[in-house]
Amino acid sequence: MTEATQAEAARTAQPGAGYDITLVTADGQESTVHCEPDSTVLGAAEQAGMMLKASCETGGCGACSAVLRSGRVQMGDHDPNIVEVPESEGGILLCRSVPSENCRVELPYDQSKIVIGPPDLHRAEITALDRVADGVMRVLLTLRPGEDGSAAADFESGQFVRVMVPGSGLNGGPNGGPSGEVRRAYSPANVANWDGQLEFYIRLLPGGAMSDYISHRAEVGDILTVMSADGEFGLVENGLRPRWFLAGGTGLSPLLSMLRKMAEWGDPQPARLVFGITRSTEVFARDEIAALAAALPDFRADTLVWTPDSDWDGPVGNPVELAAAEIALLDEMPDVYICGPPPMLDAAYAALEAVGVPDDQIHAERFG
Amino acid sequence: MFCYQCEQTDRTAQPDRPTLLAFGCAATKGNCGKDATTAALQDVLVYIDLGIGQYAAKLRELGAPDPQYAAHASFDLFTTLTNVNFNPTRFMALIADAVAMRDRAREAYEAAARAAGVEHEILTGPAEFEPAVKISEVVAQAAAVGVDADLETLGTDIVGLRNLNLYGLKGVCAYAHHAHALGHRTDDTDAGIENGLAFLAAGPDEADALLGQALELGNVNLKVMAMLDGANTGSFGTPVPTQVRVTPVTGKAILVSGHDLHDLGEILAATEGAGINVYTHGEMLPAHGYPGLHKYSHLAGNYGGAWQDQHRDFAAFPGPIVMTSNCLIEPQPAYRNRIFTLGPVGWPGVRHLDTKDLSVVLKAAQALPGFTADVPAETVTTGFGHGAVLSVADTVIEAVKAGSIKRFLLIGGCDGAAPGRNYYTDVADNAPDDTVLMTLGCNKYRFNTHEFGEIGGIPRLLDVGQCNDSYSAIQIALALADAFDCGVNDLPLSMFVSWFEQKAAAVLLTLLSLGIRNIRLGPTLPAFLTPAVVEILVEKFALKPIGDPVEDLAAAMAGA
Repeated sequence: MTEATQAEAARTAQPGAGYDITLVTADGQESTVHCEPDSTVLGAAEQAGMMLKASCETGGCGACSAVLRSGRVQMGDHDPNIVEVPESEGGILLCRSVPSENCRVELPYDQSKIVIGPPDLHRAEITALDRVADGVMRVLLTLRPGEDGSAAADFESGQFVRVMVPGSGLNGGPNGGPSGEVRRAYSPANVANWDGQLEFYIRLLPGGAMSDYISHRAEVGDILTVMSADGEFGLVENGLRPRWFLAGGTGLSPLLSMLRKMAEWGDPQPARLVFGITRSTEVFARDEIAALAAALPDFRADTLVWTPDSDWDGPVGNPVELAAAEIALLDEMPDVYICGPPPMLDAAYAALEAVGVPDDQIHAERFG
Repeated sequence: MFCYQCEQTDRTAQPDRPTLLAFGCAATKGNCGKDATTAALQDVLVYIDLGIGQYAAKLRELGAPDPQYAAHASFDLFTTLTNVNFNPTRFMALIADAVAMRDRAREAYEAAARAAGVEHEILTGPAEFEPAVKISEVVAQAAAVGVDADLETLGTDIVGLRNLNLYGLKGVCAYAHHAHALGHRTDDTDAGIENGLAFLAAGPDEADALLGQALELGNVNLKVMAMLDGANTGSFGTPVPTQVRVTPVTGKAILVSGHDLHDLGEILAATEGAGINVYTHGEMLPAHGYPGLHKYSHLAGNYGGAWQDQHRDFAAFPGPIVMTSNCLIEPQPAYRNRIFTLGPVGWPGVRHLDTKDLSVVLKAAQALPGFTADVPAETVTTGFGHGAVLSVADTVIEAVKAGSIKRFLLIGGCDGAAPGRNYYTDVADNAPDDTVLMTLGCNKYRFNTHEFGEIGGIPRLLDVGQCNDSYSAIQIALALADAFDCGVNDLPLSMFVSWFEQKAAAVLLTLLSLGIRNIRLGPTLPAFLTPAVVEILVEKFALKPIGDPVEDLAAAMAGA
């Protein structure tokens, strides 16, 4: 690096003019993006045409964990337990990090994992909107044909799709889409298809932007904007081992997609689903799980309720404890796929490792 | 894993490798993308199929042949060819099916022996092999039955000759399966396949016997290619020279790759009237020459280049892609959800279909954009099978006698990504204007759009077809030899053959079994041919590794 560029790199921008963020990938590639005041590092990268790994974008999943090597950021609300590197060692979440100096940030993946280019946006119509349990909505979107005539719902089971919250553009957001919309990431519960359908189970959260829209304003026929599928959670396709699926709440969605793909593709691996729900009134997708039992050659499912109502006659308990206890008795450690809230994932990792499931056979997706 | 069946096998010298075989893919994944588990399962599957051959051959000896055994083994061995099937779960299922088939063959043999009043033999080896239940244990079993088994005791030459037989047999089986798919079979070819399996099951260790059986396999392959030629022409008519558009037209589109004309026919029938254009890819190009396929107006053209360019070509194709046979390489995310496999082909996570229900492909084609604009027309010509060439045999013979055709150059075989394959382009481009170039297989994609002109109204470049249309080339050569009252080796004909996978190994054995000499083979010689075996082939058949294209061409023009 020349003296001139060193001086440039060391420069701290004037207040109000934003900051330069140097992103360093695991393979040593560097890119510098400009970050406007009050924008997050994630948003700045997107404005520069770089789609970094991220999921919930609300500080609740840890998918955008990175390490701050120099400079300073202000971290907005987030779950401190899901930052991959301790914050005392520079760990940050890109979706919540608003720089207050020029920064140097290390990303835990190669340059090739960064999608370069503007986000691919699609228009989708709400074609079904149903409350399927307390606090859980099933939302079916049907993609409108794009300019090229394509209307395929193209994603890998386990991936997520970002959905813009209609009418949120005025409020904006530090990670917002091109027009400043707030967006949320949801995993489709269905399988890639040529009908353009994206099926989501969405948990309604008090005060949530999407929850507010779905609860009060959404109607069948509304047009939403969605982005192309993203994320690396998915089946190890060449795996021969039995497959176990541990779901917490609407974390069932990507796992349901994987199981449905197994059924549709004719995968022969034995499959086991353990689905945990907090209250019995929140249980959903019973028919869909029953359909899997008919479609898969070797499938067993349990839906467990943590705090059952008096009319619940199904299993009660913790899905992680049940799964770990059963897996401990197996001759062959399975591949385990987990999706649920961060505490469930932490508990699952600890319990599964304790019974001997190798780390590389545990595949997990956090959601916030 | 250990695998050295294809041309792209790892040829990096690794002195510390714990095997006597210097070359071959021995890491966790082969250069083709096949992982170690899949490679092991393929070896086990092949071994069980040898057992099917043992019982089937015995049944035939007792006068009770059953075509289902050769058909089953043909399909199984086809799945193990390079770039065909990479899906370990599929191989676990195939192993179970093969064991069931072998056990039925055993019961049939014992019943036939009882009916004939003779004591049945107790067959050993593959005939009694039982795969383990656990996958990890099946993988472990492969060490004892794989392609490098017995290496320590037999040495590389014998193991290499065994594998020459095995890989040749795989090629024979692949061609046979294509014919079987069209409802064609013969007792001769069934017997040849059964004998090939039973021969290997016996653990042969004599070099002469192994070489002799390899040449016998060449004979069998000639019959199999004749059967396939009959199946293709019987189903779709005799190929005629046909202009094929190689630029797209506006509209929804499906791309069909591989070699299987039956599958292409099914796709064309299923899409007729649906407003979807069908394009051929790679080795499917010669399909356009068959009247029974050309009749479909929605068979719009040929798209893309040779197989090794598929990442680029498939990503850019705006519709679904159907693989009917090799060569498949790892599907990229850009098209992973819109590529489908049929028959022996497979990749983990890629949807496998049956031609009985192609509705998902049609749905995909309708949902995907297709080509949104016409591109100016460009064409190539195919369809110069033996029927077409021999129909103008008098003109050809006269041209040879008059000296306007000095030599025929057969440039055939597989293409690949390896350096050195431009050799074949250089031969074609540097060939004198008084030569006729006959092409086969997919190495022609490097030069088939070049301008070669005509000789007396005969195009200088005649595309004879797919690699299995080597049969056509042989028929043309035999007819010319007959017309000139000479042997094939006395014809003004030189062969420049490139190989990649096991069908090419079968074709090479056929050419050798016909006594054809001076074949130039490249870009490298098969890793399973040890120096001692190569020495024998050079001595007996003057087999030549390719060298400098201009020097080789000059030598060929001089008859060497």
